[in-house]
Amino acid sequence: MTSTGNDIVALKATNQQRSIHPRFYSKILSLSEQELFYRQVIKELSFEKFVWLLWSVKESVYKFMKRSEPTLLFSPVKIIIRGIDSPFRGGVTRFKYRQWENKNNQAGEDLYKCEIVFGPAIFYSRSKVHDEVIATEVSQNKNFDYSYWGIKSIDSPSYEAQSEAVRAFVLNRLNSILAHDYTDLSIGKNLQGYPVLLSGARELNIPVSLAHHDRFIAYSFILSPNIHTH
Amino acid sequence: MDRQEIIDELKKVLTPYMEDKELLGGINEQTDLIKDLKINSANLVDIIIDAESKYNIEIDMDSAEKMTTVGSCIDIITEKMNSKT
Repeated sequence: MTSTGNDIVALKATNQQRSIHPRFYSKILSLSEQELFYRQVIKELSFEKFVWLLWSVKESVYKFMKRSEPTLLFSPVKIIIRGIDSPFRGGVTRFKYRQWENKNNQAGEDLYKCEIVFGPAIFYSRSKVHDEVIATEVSQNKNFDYSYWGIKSIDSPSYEAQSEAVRAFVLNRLNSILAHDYTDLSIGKNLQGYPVLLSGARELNIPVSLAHHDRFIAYSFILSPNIHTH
Repeated sequence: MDRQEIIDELKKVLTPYMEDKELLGGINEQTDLIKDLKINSANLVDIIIDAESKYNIEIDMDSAEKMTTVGSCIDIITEKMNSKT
């Protein structure tokens, strides 16, 4: 299945005290996932960030799957994270960019990587974790081949501003890659409310995922290899 | 507590997580929490916990995953309240 899923969490817009309360995190994390926190490899993460990292991974998997299963419901504890690799960089830093976008064949520096099981399916995630924001992209391809991902901070936290900015952000990247192949690109919605990429009135078979929360926006999309080589 | 009374209380639960409070004026049982009320998914667990406190019930995750619309929220809350009596 060709799909993509991403999520972003603006930590200032979450309730820090509540995030670390068992009543809250037990609705997101299984017992085996709670035990992951105490492994040495992720000791640099606060428990709050750990909870939201796993939330963003699970939400991204749900968005990936929902595209092909419109009736799917989001149940975080049913999406199982069975391992986390830390980037070992000695601490979490600020999101110092106005925007960040992955580059082709970029090694996974600074990225937390998870392996996830949901029913019979296996997923891989990569996440950027900063003081203010956690962003995740998931794929069924461990190397994230042909996968494009971007994160940006914006000035206004209003829903309308987020929605408009994330569409402009992803279209800017898509136009830079697809200008030779397609014209008049825009983002529409299908009947289930999922974003679709249009060229004029024609829907393209290029899955796009959008995420926004407070003053942060993010996208992911995946291209087929023949388009990617342009 | 009838369904209308539950809706009235549910509005108080949802309000803190909505940017445009006026959207609550037009809600009905088909209203989707994320698509129609523009509630961020990161607040869904907050809403479940607040509903548990408001109605003095416990909502298991199998039930929580169904709480996507106002109507399904009322169904689950009613079921949990009735199971206490």
